[in-house]
Amino acid sequence: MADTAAPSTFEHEALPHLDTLYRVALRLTGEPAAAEDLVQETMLRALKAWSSFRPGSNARAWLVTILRNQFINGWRARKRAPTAVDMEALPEPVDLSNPDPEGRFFRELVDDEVLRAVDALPEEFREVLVLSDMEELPYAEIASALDIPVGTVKSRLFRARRILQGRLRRYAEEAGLITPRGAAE
Amino acid sequence: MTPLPPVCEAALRELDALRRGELSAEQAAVLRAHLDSCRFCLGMERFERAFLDRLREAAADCNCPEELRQRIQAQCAQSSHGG
Repeated sequence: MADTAAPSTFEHEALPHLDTLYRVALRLTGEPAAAEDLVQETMLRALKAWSSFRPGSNARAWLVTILRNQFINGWRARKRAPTAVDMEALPEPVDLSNPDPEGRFFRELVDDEVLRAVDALPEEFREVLVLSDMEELPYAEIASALDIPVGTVKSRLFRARRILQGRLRRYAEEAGLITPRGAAE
Repeated sequence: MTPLPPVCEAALRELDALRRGELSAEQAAVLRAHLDSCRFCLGMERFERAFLDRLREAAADCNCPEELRQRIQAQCAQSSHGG
């Protein structure tokens, strides 16, 4: 039998991460069809570059790096320009003096509202939030995949959550799930 | 809304590392002591847990479509047999 060690190892290492890659691609592109194309291109590129993968290193971070590079070099150039972010402006924390301080309103929001708010985040915040809070990657793995320091991961994540929590609270207010700030009896 | 005291701002920045178990024992003890004595930060911790649970649920249904998975598996198989 021919030696098929490299490709079969690729299948073993890479295919288990298809769900993660697809979800990240979906949040980056905002479109299921584009996400599918991006994942397929990523896997083709990864397969070709498999000889450069260091055995024992983190395949998921390696694949996310390739996916992100494909997105930046191809998809983003065609589809979306990144939103400029004021890194100094820190959104206020959500005001817990409002009703529902334990965030029960989050459960009342439908998935589409939550995902739409995620998709509306500036790209550099969105990618960190998706990898951390949706895919539950460790800080070090996110830092490796995005090629930024761990401190930057933490800082962007902190800001991304504040922005998103504020938006979701506004959705909940608009839907009448909670009383708007300043309108309580 | 008035700015947070620096001690609370610093605590909120480390809540996530505490949840992930990425703080040293000493750092974790300091942060837990703050949470025990600060209702605002304890409330933010509960609020953020509810937020994170909801985000993970929203993402959970978005798996790789089966047709795409099969297409990629076929490409892998073709590569391994065809070179």
